[in-house]
Amino acid sequence: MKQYEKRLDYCLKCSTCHTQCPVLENFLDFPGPKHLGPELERLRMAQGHKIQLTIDGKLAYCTNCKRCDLACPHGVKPSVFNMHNRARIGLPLQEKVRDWVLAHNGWWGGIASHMPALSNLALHNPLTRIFLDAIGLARRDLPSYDKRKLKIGKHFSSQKKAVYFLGCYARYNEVAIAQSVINIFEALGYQLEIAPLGCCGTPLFSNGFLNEARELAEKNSRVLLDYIEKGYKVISSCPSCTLTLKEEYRDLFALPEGEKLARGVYDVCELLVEEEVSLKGATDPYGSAYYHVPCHLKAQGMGTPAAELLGQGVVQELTVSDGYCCGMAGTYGFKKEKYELSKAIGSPVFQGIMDKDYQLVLTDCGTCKLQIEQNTGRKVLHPVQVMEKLIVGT
Amino acid sequence: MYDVIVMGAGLAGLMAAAAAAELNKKVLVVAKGRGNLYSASGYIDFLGYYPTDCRQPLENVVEALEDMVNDNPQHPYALLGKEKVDQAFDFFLKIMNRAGYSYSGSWKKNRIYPTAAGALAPTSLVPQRSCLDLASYQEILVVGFREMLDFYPFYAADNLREQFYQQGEKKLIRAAWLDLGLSKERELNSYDLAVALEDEAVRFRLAEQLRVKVSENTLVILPAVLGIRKWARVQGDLERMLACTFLEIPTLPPSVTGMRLAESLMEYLEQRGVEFQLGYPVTGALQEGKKCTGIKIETASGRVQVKRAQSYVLATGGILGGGLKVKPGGITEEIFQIKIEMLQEMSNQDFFAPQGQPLSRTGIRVNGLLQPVGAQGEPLLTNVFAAGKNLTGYDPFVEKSGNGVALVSGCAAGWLAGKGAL
Ligand SMILES: Cc1cc2nc3c(=O)[nH]c(=O)nc-3n(C[C@H](O)[C@H](O)[C@H](O)COP(=O)(O)OP(=O)(O)OC[C@H]3O[C@@H](n4cnc5c(N)ncnc54)[C@H](O)[C@@H]3O)c2cc1C
Ligand code: SF4
Ligand code: SF4
Repeated sequence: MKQYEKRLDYCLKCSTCHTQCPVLENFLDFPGPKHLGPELERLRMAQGHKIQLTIDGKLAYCTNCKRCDLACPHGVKPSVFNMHNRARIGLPLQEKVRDWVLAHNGWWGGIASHMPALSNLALHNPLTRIFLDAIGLARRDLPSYDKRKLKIGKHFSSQKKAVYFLGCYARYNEVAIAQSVINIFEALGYQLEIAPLGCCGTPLFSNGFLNEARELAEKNSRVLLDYIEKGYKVISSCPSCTLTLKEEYRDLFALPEGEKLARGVYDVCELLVEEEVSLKGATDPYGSAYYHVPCHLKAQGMGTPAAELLGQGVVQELTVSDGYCCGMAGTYGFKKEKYELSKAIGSPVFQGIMDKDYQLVLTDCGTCKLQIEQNTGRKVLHPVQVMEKLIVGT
Repeated sequence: MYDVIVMGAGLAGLMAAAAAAELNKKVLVVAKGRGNLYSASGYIDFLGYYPTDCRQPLENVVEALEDMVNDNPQHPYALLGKEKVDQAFDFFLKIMNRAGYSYSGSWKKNRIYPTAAGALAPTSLVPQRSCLDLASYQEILVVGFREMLDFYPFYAADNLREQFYQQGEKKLIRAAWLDLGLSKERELNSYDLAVALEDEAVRFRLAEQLRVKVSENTLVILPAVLGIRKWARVQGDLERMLACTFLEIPTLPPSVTGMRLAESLMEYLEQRGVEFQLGYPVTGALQEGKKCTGIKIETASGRVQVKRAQSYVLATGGILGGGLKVKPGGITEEIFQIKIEMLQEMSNQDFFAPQGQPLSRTGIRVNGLLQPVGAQGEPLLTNVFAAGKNLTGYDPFVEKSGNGVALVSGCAAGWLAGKGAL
């Protein structure tokens, strides 16, 4: 029996998870985590998984934000059932095509970032927009592509070793984030390498391409475990990548070495806190900042390391907001039928930002950033971009 | 480094955090998940029945507390005494007022409130909006919703009529089904309806259907569905549109009233600078002699994070909340590995015996400072204070004292931890 199935016995049907689901709060037809997860799974198990119960198509509305998992008093993780069953929903062809396009964003990114000017032009071309609309993409800002090359300092060897899993966003859409991370860890004396890997698989499994995601997970995990064997720590600046490497490879895909991999993976700020990096004594602190904690960062259960660092005096008045999902959920907010819902889910975040005149708006996740920027008109930075000059110096 | 780390985010843990924060301490709350408030009623029951075989709601609560000190010294109320009880209840009323979700009542006097089944049961504190003198209403309308199958207005109305009749009160009690026109794709619960009613159009439909059925003298009893976060808006609006009075009653889980209590308290605590880390269990502790020097949290990576404080509150909810584990070899507290004394007959033959189930009285034995103690009464830990359902010596179900004990012991544990009383 798989790890996540064992926990099924602990579900007391208390519905606490039900009250924390941001989708349900804004869309009453959504059956919610308790029903889609433990309740239906028990039914399926009782029938020995023999009868192919039709999977409720509404399951496709789950954003995999994992707020249900964190809420459960008894350690059940309803979201894992959702991600398993996501692959079995029968969707109309148009949505399948669209989901395929979104799920393979790494693949598109690879092409587009080689000719960013052309791609950015094409993305904003009216004909392209008509095509995207026809396959079910929302009419919203799309991420633009970034071709800047990463600058890595002279190779040196050190006791402290890290391998940086860039993830799609920092690799293709905002190289500046990756550059900040590289500069910080080099300044701290890390022997740093960029992992020769692409996507972590999140867009694949959250769009139902479970088998393809599993193959990718196996490959990524082999490469990263090689590094871990050699004493490297795996770092990433993307919360969805770190969560997937830590948790999904182990729990969703049950990879035999998933546990070992998970133990070697760090969020960049998590490692900075562990390194006891001090940002005290910032001479020119920012007056105020709003920090949106991405769901996938919160779901790692490690607290908010970025806020711990920024709170040391980099920002005088730091608002740490982890109560609401921004609604973007990776590729979810790009989907036409989910676009309005995605904005409704995120509205408390947008309101919170616009209520006050914050000097900075921060979040770690690339797609949270897109959503917030589009809905508030504010520029959003990754926390490392604020810390860089304090750690590296000028 | 924190001053106080609270383990558990049920009522006991939240009260401990509030008490320590009131002393301006730096507080972290760590919990595996959210507490039992999302299932419990959100009413604070101090002591409904005492002695427990008495089936009449307790009249003289102050006297019962005095008896308890003599007859049942291990009871958390007896250990802490009347003064602490008073202080804790005052403190609760004060902070809920600050948190914007006021409560009314007193631990000294039981009030009789209808349950979802239409029975009348004792409780001590209720949300201010529900604080009504039921005796003064001659005309009651019990309302149910077609969308919500776990509340039957006609059944509840019949029971209520019967109960009031037995008390010699004759009231006009009617019942009605309303239909809010919500999607019937799935069965909705009280949380779903409460969310729906935050939408003005749905609220309007409710008012339209009720308007013809009520007058300004009517008390409308309905399941707790009048808004979650925007409850004040929802209830204010309805009262403006209709002149009648509303009484929400707690429902089957998920509990809207309990959720409002939990979330307004948590929001208030966050504003006071209390930090929360929810979702992963505390799996163990570091100890030097009788002092706890850190707790271990296992995060998503499987690595263990150590968090340190001067003192700690252990409010992990006993057997039901997951803090105590029942295993073939016995019962143990999981974080500090405290062995729990087994009571003589662990399971009473008669499930509904008035003296209750010994298992529901099982918990950690503590001294008057809420420190866990060993067989000889010696403290096992000096800077760890236990609270809530973790404690032994009471049965929340037969006494009707669950949230009361959580409130009083949570508060006391938070004070003791905050003051560093070692
Ligand atoms: C269905 C039901 C209805 C009830 N209704 C009422 C009522 O109407 N009125 C009333 O007064 N009482 C009621 N009670 C009783 C009352 O709710 C409880 O006695 C009281 O809530 C206990 O509070 P607590 O804070 O001690 O525990 P809980 O609320 O259970 O909280 C325990 C906390 O500890 C956490 N935890 C557990 N293990 C760990 C770990 N290893 N590490 C970190 N965190 C951990 C949990 O996640 C949770 O946050 C009811 C009880 C039940 C079961
Ligand atoms: S999964 Fe957890 S929170 Fe949800 S109903 Fe079951 S026990 Fe309750
Ligand atoms: S993962 Fe998020 S969206 Fe999906 S069921 Fe859980 S709470 Fe709802």
